[in-house]
Amino acid sequence: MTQRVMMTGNNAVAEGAIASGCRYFCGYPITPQNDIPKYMAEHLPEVGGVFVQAESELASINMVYGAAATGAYVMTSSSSPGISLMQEGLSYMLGSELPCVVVNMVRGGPGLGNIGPAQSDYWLATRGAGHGDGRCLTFAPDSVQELHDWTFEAFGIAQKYRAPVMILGDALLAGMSEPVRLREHREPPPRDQEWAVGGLREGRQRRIVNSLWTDVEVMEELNQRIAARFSQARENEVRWEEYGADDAEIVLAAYGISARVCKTAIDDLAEDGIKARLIRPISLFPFPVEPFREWSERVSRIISVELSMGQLIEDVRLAVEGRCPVDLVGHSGGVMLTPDEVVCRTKELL
Amino acid sequence: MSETRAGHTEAEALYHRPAGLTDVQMRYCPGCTHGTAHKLIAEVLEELDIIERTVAVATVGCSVYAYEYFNTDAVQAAHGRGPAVATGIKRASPETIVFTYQGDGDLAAIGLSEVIHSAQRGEKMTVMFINNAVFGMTRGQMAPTTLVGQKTTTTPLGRDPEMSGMPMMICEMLSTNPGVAYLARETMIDPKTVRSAKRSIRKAFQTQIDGAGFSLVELISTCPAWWHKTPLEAMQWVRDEMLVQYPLGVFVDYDG
Amino acid sequence: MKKRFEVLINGEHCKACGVCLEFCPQDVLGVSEQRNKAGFYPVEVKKPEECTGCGHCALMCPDACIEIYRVPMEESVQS
Repeated sequence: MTQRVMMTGNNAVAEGAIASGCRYFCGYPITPQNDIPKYMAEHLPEVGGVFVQAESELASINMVYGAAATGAYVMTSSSSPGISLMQEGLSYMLGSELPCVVVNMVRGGPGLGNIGPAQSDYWLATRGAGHGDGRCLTFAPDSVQELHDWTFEAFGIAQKYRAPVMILGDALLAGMSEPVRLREHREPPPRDQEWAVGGLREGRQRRIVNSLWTDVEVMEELNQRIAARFSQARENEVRWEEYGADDAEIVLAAYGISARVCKTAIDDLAEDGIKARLIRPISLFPFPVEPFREWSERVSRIISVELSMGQLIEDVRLAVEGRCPVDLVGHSGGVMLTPDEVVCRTKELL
Repeated sequence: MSETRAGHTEAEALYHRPAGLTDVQMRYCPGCTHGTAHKLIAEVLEELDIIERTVAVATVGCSVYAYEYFNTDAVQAAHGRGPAVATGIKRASPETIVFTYQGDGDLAAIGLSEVIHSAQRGEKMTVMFINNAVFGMTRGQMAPTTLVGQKTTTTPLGRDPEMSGMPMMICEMLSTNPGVAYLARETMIDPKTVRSAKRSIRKAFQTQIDGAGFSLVELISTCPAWWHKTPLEAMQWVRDEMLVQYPLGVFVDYDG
Repeated sequence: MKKRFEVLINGEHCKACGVCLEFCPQDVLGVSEQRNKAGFYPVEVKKPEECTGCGHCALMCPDACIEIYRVPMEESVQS
C-alpha cells in the first residue's frame, strides 16, 4: 500500500483528476479553489496534458464542452459565483449528452459573498444544470482523502451517464491539509465513444453534438433518455455513510464538512447519554432516500445540519415524507458550525 | 475517377455542388448570402481535402442549423461561445481542423469576449464571421454592426449613435491582436468578390493547417428579409452603404 | 474538340431568388412555369446552346443548386 502524504483538498482534487486520466483542464481564477488550476498548470504538462486559463467561467465551461465532445476526460473547477456563470454550459452539456467533471469549492453567498466555507450551493448543484429539465450528478466528500477519491471516480461516472458530475466541496475542505493515500496513475482511456467528434473520420459517418431539437417529440425523447440515466444512477450510484448509535433516538443529517462537525457532536452527545446517529449523504443527487426513510420510523426527529439556511433539509423532508419532524441547524454566509453548537441545539430540540 | 452527383466525371465538372455540403436544402431565405458563404467554405474544405478531419462549430442565429449543411463532424455551441468550444476541441484534438460559423449577433454582441480571447491566445482555429448588420433569426433587431441610420425593429427611426453607439469594426479591432495570423474582410455581391472571398477563406484554413495561429474572415453579407429589399437590391445596398462602413481587404497575413 | 456546356439546376432546392438570372451574361436561364414543392417558380435552362461555361450563375447561387459540366459536342443533349 502506498504511503500517505499531506495534501490540501485542492491539491488532492487536482492529483485525483490527473491520476484518473484527465488531461484537459480549463479554468478561471476564483478563491478558494485557486490551487486546483495551479496544480493542473504545473503537473498536466508532465503527463502530456493541456491547461488553458480561460477569460471567464463562461469560456471555461464551453472549452470543457468542446474538449468533452472529442471524448476526452476534461475538468474545470470554480467556486460559487463562477459556478453560477457555468450554468449555461452545464445545461448545454447535459442537453448534448456530454460528460465532464466540475468541482465547486463552495463559498459564502449570495452575490459576491465571501470566501468562507458554505454549503449554500446544494440546490445549484442538485437542482441546477442551468435551464431545462436537468441536474448534476453530485458527490460531496468530507475529507481530503475523499476529495481525491471522488474526483478520481467522477470521470468514469460522467462517462457512464454522459452527464456532468459535480464534486461539491467548500472553502474549508479546499484549504485544509490531511494525509492522503494517492491513487496510482492510469492512462487516459481511448476515445472510442460512438458519439465523439474530431480526429480522422476515416470513412465513418459524420457525428453531430447538439442540443437543438425543434421537433418537440424528439426533444422529449432526449429528456426521457436523460431521466432514464438518472434513474439508473439512483440504482447504482447512491452512497452514504452512517455514524453513531445503532439505537439512536435522534438523527443528524449532514454532508461534507458539516458531517465532520456532527461526528464530534455525536461523540459528545454520547458522553452526555444521548444516542444520536449521523446519516451523511455522499451522493447528493442521486439522494440516499432509503436510510432516511428507515430511520424516520425509529427516531423522534431528524435535524439537518448544514452551512446554509436550509437546502439539504428539503431532500431530507422529501425522503422522510412526514414520518417525523425535521428541523434545521444551520449557519450561512461563511460562518462555521461548531460541535458545541450542534450539541446544544440537539438537546434543545429533543 | 469519382463521379459527381450528376454522373459526370470530376474532370468534366466546371462547377459541382461541393462535397463539403450535405444534400440537405439550406433553410436560408431566398437570396441570403449565408448560403453562398456555406458553399465557399464547403468548396475550400473539399479542395484542401480536410472534410474528413474537420469539426464545424455551429452557433446561434440564422445559421443555427449549419451542422446539417456542412458534411463534417459538428458541434452546436451556445450563443456566442463558439470560439471557446472550438478552443476545447482543438486543444483536446490538435489534428482536427476546427472552424466556427458565427453571425454578427453571436460574434460581435454576446460572444465578443470569446472571439477576442481566442484570437489573443492565437488559437489555431478559423472563424467565419457573417456580418449582415442585423439579427436575422430573432426578427431584425439592431446588431453591434448595424449602420448609423439603419432601421431595424429595435431602432425604428434608424440607429442613433447617441442612443446605441457606433457600428463595431471587428477586423479593425482584431488587426492589432498579435495572436491573429490571418484576417480579411470580404463580400459576395458579384463573381469577382465571391472569388476573392473564396481565396481568403482558403487562406484562412491554410493558416490553420500551417499551425500559424488564429484566422478570421469577415464576410459582409446580405439580409434581404430584414433589410426589406430584394436579393439584388440587398447586394446593391452592400456596395453603396455597407462597404463604406466596412472596407474590404486583407488586414493581417502571416505569410505576406 | 469543341465543347458545349450542360447546366444542371436542382429545381427543388431553387428558391427563385433571381441572382443567377442577373449574373448570366448570355441569358441562358429563365423561370419555370411550374412551382416546386416549396412553392417557388425555380430557374431553368432556357437556351443551353448560349452557355459559355463562365460559371457566374453557379458561383453566385446561394443555394448551390447549379452545376455546370463540359460535354463533348457530339454527346451534348440538344433540347
